[in-house]
Amino acid sequence: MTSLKSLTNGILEKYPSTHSCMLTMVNGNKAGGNIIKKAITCNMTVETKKNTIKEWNEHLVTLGAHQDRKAFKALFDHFSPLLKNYFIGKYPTQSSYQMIEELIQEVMIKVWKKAASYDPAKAAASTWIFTLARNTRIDMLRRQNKYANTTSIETEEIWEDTTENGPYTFLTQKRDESLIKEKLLALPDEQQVVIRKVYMEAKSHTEVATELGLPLGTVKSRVRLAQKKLQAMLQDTKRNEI
Amino acid sequence: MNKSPQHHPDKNLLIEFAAGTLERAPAIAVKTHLHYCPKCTLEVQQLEQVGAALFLSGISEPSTENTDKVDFTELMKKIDGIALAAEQVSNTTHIRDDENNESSHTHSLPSKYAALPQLVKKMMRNDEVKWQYTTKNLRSANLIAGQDQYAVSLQNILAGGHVPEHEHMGDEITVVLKGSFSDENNMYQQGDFLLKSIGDRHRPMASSNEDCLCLSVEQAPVKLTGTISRLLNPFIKINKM
Repeated sequence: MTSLKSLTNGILEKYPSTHSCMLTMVNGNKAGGNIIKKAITCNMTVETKKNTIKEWNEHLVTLGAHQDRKAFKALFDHFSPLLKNYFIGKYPTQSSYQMIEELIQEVMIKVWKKAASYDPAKAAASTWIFTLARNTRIDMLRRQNKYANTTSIETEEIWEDTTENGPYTFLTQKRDESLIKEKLLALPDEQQVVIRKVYMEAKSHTEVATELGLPLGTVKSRVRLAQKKLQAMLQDTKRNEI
Repeated sequence: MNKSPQHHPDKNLLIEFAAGTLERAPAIAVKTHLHYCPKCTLEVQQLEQVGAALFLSGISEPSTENTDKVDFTELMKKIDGIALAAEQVSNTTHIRDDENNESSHTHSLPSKYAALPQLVKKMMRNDEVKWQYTTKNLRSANLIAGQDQYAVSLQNILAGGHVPEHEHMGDEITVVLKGSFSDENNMYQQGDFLLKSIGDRHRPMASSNEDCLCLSVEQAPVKLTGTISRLLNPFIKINKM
């Protein structure tokens, strides 16, 4: 039943109009059988395509529904090198290797534990995992602060795993990962450098300015330009695919 | 009863927040604003998607031959160990329990603070908030935010009360929690986010119908610039936690 539910979710995303049939099918009515068969066939062709954002959403839903180890292994194989790359951004030295390994494990344990609360209607798996990784990095820095224990405020109360209220938009849902990478590389170098330093190396605008020997204002405007283009790119791709 | 905020953090601040590079105290101020602001909440979500795009653009081919890789079997052993330990403790113990503890923790807060964001209430630590009068119209209470880079406090301006004109010696973020105030430029209402930088001067005044309660996150103590500055200066000293 749970796997049917997750499959249903997957199909619904692609074929929202099948909603009522899907529900009756889940409720045990056989009349929707043909439609569901058709939908399953379509869904399978989607699954054979590699590295789509959607594929990872489905794996995550499956993991959340019944602690599926195969789905977890697939997520692990895909995301742990990305996580490694992410944490190396903040801790680039060879000596940090042990810590990076622990951070990756920490994120993957969170993925395992929290998968049941993941909602594919709210965020793509990649965005969700990115926020888990970001929060794990914040926690890591936090542990080094001697004032950390003076409050019971958890990092997740400031930086949520996924933004839980407000309207939702879906920029990255159906994107092909290689396409994102390609578009990203199309940004002017000077913009790529600053936005990567901010997001991947966890540097404040001031730190970036100092490091590159640029005025703070220049860094700020380059970051905004890069962000604007990336956001537009993510939105554009979506429009093209609908 | 309230319209959504009109004054927001700028884009760069939201980017730093979404990237997770913003220091804890200003991040708490941003999060407090998000509590009231659907527009910025949505924006942060989009900026997280930008982050996810950068995250995905790393090495995306899993290198199977890489001996440096975290071992999956080892990870599963850890996960099974955690699951087993959790079972042994109790079937009902959950991460959620922390939240329940917290809510009972804040029960003793006077009801006039009940509607404040949970985050602010946590920093108030029940009734441990100690108000100190800075001037006749302004009282403040230090909050515990678990850091030492900024002075985090509640500021309460008496209904209709003026705060002496002051100059900022460092960045100060103000988020309106209750009531409203105005300065020479604008009117600020619940959820509004206001950043004053070094050298900015202003003379806030609370609206006449009710007290104005604000969250303040301040980098360095402000300097009073009015004629009574010499009298007031000793009182405005901020005790960093």
